[in-house]
Amino acid sequence: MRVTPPDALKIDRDELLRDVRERLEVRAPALAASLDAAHPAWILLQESAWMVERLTEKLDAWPWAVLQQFAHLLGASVRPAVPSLGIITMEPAEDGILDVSANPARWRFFASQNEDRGLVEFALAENGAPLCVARVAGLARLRDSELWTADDGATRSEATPDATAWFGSEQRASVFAGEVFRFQIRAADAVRVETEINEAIARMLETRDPGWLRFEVTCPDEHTVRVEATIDVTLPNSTADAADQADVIAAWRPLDDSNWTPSVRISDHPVLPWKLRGARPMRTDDGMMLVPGVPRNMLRNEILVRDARPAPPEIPDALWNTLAHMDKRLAALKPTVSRGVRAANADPAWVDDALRGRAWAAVERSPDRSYAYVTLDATEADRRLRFAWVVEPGALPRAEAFGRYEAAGILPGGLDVTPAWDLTLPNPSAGGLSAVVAFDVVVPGGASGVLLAIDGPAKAVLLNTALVINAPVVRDGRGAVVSRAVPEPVSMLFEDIVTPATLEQLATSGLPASAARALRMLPCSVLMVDGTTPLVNFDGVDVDAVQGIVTLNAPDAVGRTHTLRRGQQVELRWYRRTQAALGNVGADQINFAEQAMTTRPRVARVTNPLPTFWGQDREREEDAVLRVFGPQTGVPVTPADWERLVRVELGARGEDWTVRVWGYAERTLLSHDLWPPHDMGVEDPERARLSKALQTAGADTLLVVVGPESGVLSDVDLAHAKRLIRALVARWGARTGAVRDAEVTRYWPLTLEGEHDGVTPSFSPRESHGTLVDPLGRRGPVPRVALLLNAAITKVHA
Amino acid sequence: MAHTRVDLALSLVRSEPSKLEALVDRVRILLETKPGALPYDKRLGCDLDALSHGAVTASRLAETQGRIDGVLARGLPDGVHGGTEVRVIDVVAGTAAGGPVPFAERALASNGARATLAVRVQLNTESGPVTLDANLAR
Repeated sequence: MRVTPPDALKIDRDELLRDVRERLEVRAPALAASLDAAHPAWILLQESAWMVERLTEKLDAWPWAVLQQFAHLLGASVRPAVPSLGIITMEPAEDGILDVSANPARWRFFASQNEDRGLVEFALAENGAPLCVARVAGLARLRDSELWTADDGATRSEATPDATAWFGSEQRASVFAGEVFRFQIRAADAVRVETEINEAIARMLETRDPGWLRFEVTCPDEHTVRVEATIDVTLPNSTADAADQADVIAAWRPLDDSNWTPSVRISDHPVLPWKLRGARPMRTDDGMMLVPGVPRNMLRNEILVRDARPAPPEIPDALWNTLAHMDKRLAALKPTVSRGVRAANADPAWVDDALRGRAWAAVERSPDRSYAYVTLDATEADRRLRFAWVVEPGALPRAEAFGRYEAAGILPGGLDVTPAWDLTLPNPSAGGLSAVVAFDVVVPGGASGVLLAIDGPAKAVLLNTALVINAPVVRDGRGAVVSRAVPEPVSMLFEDIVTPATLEQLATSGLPASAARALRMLPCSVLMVDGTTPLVNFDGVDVDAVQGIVTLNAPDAVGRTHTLRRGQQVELRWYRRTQAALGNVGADQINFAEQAMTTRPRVARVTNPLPTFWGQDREREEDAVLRVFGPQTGVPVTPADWERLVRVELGARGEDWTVRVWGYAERTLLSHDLWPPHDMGVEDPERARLSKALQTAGADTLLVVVGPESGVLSDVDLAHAKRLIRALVARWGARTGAVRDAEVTRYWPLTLEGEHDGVTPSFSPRESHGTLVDPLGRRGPVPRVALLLNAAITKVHA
Repeated sequence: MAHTRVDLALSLVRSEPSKLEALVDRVRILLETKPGALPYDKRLGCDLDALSHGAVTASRLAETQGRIDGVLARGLPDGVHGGTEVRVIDVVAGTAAGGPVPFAERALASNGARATLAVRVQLNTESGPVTLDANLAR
């Protein structure tokens, strides 16, 4: 047990005055009776009580003042402000590369001032991000191999409508209702071949009508015959049952060498009985299809709806083989085959290109995918396109891109897609966090469009994205002449300077590795010695990031000193500052780009689709003293040490959460259980996984329980917390080795309907009797164990 | 050695202030103290200064009376404060008080007026009703 802190010495003046009045009432009742608010004696007493209160307050503060002096003597420093990080999307005036190697402030981005804050400036946090004049033409989704179109019209960003598109409401695509197979035959006598084909088609429809094909044979010139076979599910040859006019019967047979027929469902037409809507039609053994109970006034072409998926690739060959079986003379012909959809139904428009280019199999590589079709002007040269998907945080999904060409359509060979970075940011519109995963793709010359595809459900697609950081460049330009070869401080123009140590602090605060890598490559400053020797990133000089002071001839953070002789001139050419927590701006707040008239490529429009995040003010001096002298400083040993570190790691996100860490001792020496207990009979996969993991977890594994004090932690927040906490434990594990892994689970605040002898919240149910209820309404008896590891009694209802 | 005699002149019958004097002192404390002037009781006092530089209207007179009423009712023992009456007794037009005034400001000040308010406070004491009269002027 820790030594308890001393009682506060502060004497409250109201209590003091109350005490005086009580004593006066005993010893001088007449005076006490006349002591109203304006009585001079009472005013003097009030003044005395106030002075006592102030003095006793100072007594309380005295130990901390001593500690602060100790911290000062020890050289403890305040942690500097951390810049916020975010992403922007841009609409450029021309293609190009955002090259900031020579001039780090070539492009500057601003969030305009409002009632709460002034102008907030952002700088590019990466060098060489490509810009490409492109437009998101449409979004689509593949669900269980069926194509759905997403309405992105209402969700386009106002600032960059061409570059930012969010997935809105979705509806099943009707594009395959007009799927067509085109055969072209070159022959010496086209008219004769046309006649033979027409006869074969007529024979097929007469003897083995599939019921879902419509043919059109044309002869554009004397050596060419074209056959267009359209999949038609409007039941052109259907008949009505003689006995009951309400049943519709139609042929529905496969082609020769195939067992495939278009999969259809009964439409949602309001005239149809509700039991029929969405159901599959009935099939008979003789290759017929029956739709029962269709009202007589129902149009035949409104009964069936085709599933939103194309025919298999072998169907065109099966169709020609079937025709060849009707007329052996056709077997000798070798038609060129192409696929597509009729233009009237072409939504999404890229489906026709994908079928035409035989790329559908590559495009639908997995049954659950998201698509964005991007149009751009065809150029002869190759160029790079930066795009980003906004997805749920977690494992990074596979992304692909396919080029679209005017003549050939979309080709199956995927383009070269390279991951650029990924970043997790809050997403207020969706709640929780979203991951932004950026890629670069090389678009070959001649391509007029790119189909972007990613596994799983995406929330949005962004074009021309770049990482930005609230670390604007300060072009100081002042020079300092070294007068003595001793440490010499030089004040900068701003406080809260960004240094490599600041960026490292940001990079190790839970950022994904790729974003952290980009940050570590960001140059922070250039100090020029005698106009010839640059000192980059405060190399060889000491810098106080909080106060904005560079000390020449003093060792830097890693102990190197760039020795400057008397008379040498040091120019503070540029450095970066930050506005700390003010840099955490909301979505769509960054809307100005500043660039010189001659800067190319020009950024025409810019916005940030998601809020910027991670910005923190500099540490308060009181917090720094607590950090230095607090009981948990140093190597974390007890669970309480870890709880503090976890809470610091979670930051503002977990400000109101309960954090509890259980070590190996608690898990092995005390009887314990997990919520929901086994005897509740509730199937909880998370509990089962955790229980299994704890059985094999050794002394080097912590159990960390996090969650709000009311309600349930969302899956997204849990995933975020897991990543942060495991990164924290891995960092410490590399240093100490005592703890190497952590099981992170959800905290369940429980309500006890019964009796509880003790304080709340209580992880120990031993003294409780009654029924426990969790926020999901699940009820169970109080387990007879010493500890509930992942739940605590927070409320008691007798 | 000469013997020196000193008269001690003890004043054992020092008179305490009368109840009326004590009451008047409290009223003065309440009306002359600005709220916030005493750090240990920031509510004590009456902010009559805030009434300066405004037009003498019926509503402003009512506000002045209300402030004085509120302060005295809070600060004096229960039942002592019997009411307040505020009225204008003197109005001087076109004056610019204090030191040389620049031309433009003087032109503006000549459009204004300076008023003196008379305040009459009724108090109920054990020895009967007491009326306190005071003038408010700047």
